Amino acid sequence: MRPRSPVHLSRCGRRAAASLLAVIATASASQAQEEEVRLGITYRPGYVPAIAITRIETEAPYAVVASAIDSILARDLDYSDRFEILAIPDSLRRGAAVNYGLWNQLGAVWLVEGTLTVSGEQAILRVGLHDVVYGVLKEVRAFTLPAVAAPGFRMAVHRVSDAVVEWATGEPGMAASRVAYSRRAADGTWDIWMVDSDGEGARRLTRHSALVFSPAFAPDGLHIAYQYQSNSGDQSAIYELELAAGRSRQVAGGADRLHLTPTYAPDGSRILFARSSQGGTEIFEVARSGGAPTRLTSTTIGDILGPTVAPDGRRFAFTGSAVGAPQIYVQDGSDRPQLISRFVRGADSYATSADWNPLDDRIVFQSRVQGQFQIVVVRADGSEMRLLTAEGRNEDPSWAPDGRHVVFSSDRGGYRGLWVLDTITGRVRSLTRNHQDQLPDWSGALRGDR
Amino acid sequence: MRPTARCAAIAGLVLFGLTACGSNPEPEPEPTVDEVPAATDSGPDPAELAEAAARSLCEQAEEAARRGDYDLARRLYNEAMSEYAGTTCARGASAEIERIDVIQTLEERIHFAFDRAELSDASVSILNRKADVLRRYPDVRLTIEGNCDERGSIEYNFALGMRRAQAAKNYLVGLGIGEGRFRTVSFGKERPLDPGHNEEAWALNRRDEFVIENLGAI
Repeated sequence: MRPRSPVHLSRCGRRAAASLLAVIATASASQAQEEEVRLGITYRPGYVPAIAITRIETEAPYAVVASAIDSILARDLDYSDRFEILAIPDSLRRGAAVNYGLWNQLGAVWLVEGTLTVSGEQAILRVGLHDVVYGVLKEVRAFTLPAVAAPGFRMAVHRVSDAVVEWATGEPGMAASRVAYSRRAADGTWDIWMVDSDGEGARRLTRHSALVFSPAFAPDGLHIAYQYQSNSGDQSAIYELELAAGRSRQVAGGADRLHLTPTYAPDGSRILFARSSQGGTEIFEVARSGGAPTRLTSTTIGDILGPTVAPDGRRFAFTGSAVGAPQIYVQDGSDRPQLISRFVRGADSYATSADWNPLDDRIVFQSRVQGQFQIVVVRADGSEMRLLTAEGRNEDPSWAPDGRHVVFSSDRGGYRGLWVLDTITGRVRSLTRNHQDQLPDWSGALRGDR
Repeated sequence: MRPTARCAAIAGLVLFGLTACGSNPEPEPEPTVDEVPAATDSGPDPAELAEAAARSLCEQAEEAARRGDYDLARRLYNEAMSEYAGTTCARGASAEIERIDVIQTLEERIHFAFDRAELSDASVSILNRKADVLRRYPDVRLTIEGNCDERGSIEYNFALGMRRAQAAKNYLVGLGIGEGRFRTVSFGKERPLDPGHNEEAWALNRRDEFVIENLGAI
């Protein structure tokens, strides 16, 4: 049971939904010459260990801080979708020694305990993770926290949550991260906004009140590149916002040319973007240190935009339109681009908005399936294509730094907003409840005091 | 009836509108021509009244043209010509009507099929008419704005809108109009004409808009 989350289905319900949606669509209308790929939702959640999170111990004056930490930790570990969160009876208080037998009887596989000590300005949170099955303290670490009212407090606790995830699973978490997105104002203009991974702290970052789209986090988490177009259309440029200073600078621009869809190379040294010229729209890259943009694609495919770079920094995927409708292609260096969204050939074919997984070879994108946009995942070689959504119109997916969650915009439930999907369990939660939020981009893991 | 009296009667009708019609059972006797004193001494000059009435029509016509209601503007100018021949407004009206025709030809939208940027036969004949006008007015420049319906993705629609704008530009340049006279922009799906969510609205929204950059040259 996960009583805190109103959005997701119960495990049993999820399984039922998964089998109902086992086969959703095959879009290829023509016969022998087209490869037919079956596309279905197949979430098969495996073993999910139970985790018990005891209250943070502290002295009375700091009980409020400890309680704030309790809530953030519990929600983060729930949102990680890697654990069954165990309800702990109030009577069960931590003793001098952990009673592994008792926790084992309660069904816990993992046990989180913590102590908060404050001396002067310094708050130290000591957190331990116990392996209940083996009866050992697996990891323990002391984290320095800023004051509870300081802007970095929540993010510091999110990093504790990510440490617990990594101790238990050996994989990175995504609690200490943010999502940037475009929000449309009532007057039809747009600006860039940002929200924490748990939906807290949404705030406006730019004040252009213009056509401002496609934010992309730099790997350092300190910068966001985005598309700027003036309301009259006479200016179009790629800007880079320095978050701490709140200042934007132009990375690329020029009259009578459209500048679209910036993204960073994984090492942060280059920004790739799309630029239109008389011959069509192509992918360019520009060094962040300056210099003239260089072209990466050639015009055999039209309307090329939306680049996303592989972790190797060499391959990149993009949207292009060689077969009459936009599709997803992968290009390795200067080799010929390979079509990877093959299943959608035919009248209903339309695939855009690819995002390359930060950890592996999987690419998510949006594709029209039976007249409606859905989120699809595929390997970079075009294999193992799988439908991830089936309800409502779902668009603009972006991977979390843990490589398993995806943020996207959707009108599911009758109200447009940003949603987070766990690609392993299929669980979905609401991130922002504003129907004018679009084009989300999930940051990398945010380190340091941000 | 002498021309002055006729003008005065018309001017009176224009000035007082319907208030004089039929409500009075005993209409005041129409003044005979002989009784009318010299126009210069008292009462408005009928020619001035006609001039004023025509000027009002011209002003309304200009305002309608500014709003883009070209049909109304054309009707008002025609009315000025037929009712107040000889006035300043009426003398300029035919040139204004021609100017409206030119503006309307230049501004006429072209439309596209879903996810396509190819020009239809209808679009080609619209563009041919534009080319004629552009040849006659060599100082006119156009901004061509490509637009899409709401069904595609935000980002892709910007590229598609640009392709639609460039399709029109390329055709006009191919007809020999100087490339420097066009600017192309794309608004993706951000500027729908019709906010509806149906085939009719989508068809209307898949379009190129043509914005005249220096109207004064016409």
